[in-house]
Amino acid sequence: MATPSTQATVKLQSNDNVVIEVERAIAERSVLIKNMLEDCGEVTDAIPISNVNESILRKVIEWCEHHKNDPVAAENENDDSRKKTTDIDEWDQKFMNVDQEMLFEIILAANFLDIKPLLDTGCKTVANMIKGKSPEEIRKLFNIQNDFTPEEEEQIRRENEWAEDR
Amino acid sequence: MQPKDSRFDRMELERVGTFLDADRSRQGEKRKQEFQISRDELKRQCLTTGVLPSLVVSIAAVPNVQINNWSNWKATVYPPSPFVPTKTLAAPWSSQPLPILRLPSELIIQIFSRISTPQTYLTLIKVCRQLYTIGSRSFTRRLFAVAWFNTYCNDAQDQAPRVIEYLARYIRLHCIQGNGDAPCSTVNQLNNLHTGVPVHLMPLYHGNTRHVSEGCSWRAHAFAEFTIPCFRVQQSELYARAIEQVELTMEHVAAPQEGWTMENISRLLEVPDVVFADSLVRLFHELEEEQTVKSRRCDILANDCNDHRYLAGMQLMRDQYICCCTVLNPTSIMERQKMVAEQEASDAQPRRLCSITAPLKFY
Repeated sequence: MATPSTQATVKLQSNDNVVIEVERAIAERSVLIKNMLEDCGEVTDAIPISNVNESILRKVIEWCEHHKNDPVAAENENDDSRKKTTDIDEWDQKFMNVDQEMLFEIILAANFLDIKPLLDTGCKTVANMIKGKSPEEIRKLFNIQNDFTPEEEEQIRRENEWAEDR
Repeated sequence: MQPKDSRFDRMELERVGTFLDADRSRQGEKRKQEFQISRDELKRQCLTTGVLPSLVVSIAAVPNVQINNWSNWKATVYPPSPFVPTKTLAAPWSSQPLPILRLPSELIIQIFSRISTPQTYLTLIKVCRQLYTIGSRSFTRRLFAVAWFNTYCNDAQDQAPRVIEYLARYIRLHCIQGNGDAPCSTVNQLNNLHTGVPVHLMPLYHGNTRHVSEGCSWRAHAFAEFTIPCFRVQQSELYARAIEQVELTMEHVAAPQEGWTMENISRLLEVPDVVFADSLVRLFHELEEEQTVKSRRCDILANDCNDHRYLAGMQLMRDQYICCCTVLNPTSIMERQKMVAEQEASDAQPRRLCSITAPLKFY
């Protein structure tokens, strides 16, 4: 049985070829890396993280460092784990206080590296950005063009009409 | 036939580059590629094999591959991408400012599922076609509703009555074209997501034996509502019997041991849906605004449709979603029982009964 102490650190290589050495426990917040290490045993070479560049990788590692002592969610984690957790903790809020591009890259990286809590935080952050805004405000926020025809807009309005204020 | 040497002297690397670019762009990459291959090497490869120079250049990317049959080479060994973009994720975005829409659908769905209010959900799908398409998928809606339920509705035991009322509103809307005896062609029929069978709400009703002392029980109210939409129950008479039973047991209802909570209601009913959730949000807001739940319920029970926003709304919705089935409209439980009895007594083809077209009444 492999023990966590067999290897204290692992090297991660971003797609721009920067190698970052991190504690194994921190790297293992990523289920992808955790599984990889379990499958391969001792890994001395740098693990290529082909979808993530250096700045994002460092950001993700920063998050993993801060959350390294968090309990790891159960294997069969499902939506129940999000029960009653609508708020983002203060540190995470500051962590996510980045420009949109970075935010979406973090979400993509969290998805690629399979770090569910980080993905959750990222998605919640985006959801919070949307909260309380009108469609037009959301378009402005994300620089999205309204590609509905007026007829389509009217149809969508009708579809949801019953749920509107009575 | 061997190519002549002069061909290679005139050949430009630029042209070869264009060839490989076309290859790359087929893989979704559009960057200009530069090649490192000596003219002599190129010449040698072509002379020994007889293939065109443009094809030969691809070999440079896989120098260790032993090529025996040049003409088949492209089909059997595709050269690996010789370059890695330095910023896979950031590069396309920096020039195209629509990051949210560049996320893969599964991640947009994840964002949808984290939205805190159904209202926001409904707003988000109005933003553009892509979000509308993703947000309208039943998978997305369900994921949202389950998450929403789990997040917001865990301690709502005392709110359950009104929740059910709103649930009834949802069901009524979505089943309202249903018919007691036969499936309707409605697109809004509320089906069990796993089996495809229309949802059958009787489980809520069975075993309610706890005494509720304060006047008419909310459950009576709720069940009166439930029975009106006329689901496709397995036997049409269940509908009538259910109403009867509601009357009989309205004073003797029991919640599950832990009480009716949003969770066990949703589990029983299997109707997690964003629209339903939206109703619930409104319910909670209403509860906050007016602490007059009891009196409102009395209003409902008094059948005062015109003075009651909810009933009036239901009436309107019903008009909009009216079923196209051939129906007979009983206006009360008594009338319906009488109709059923008449049908049973006669040999004529049973007519289908559909209570949804009956005026909204509480028995």
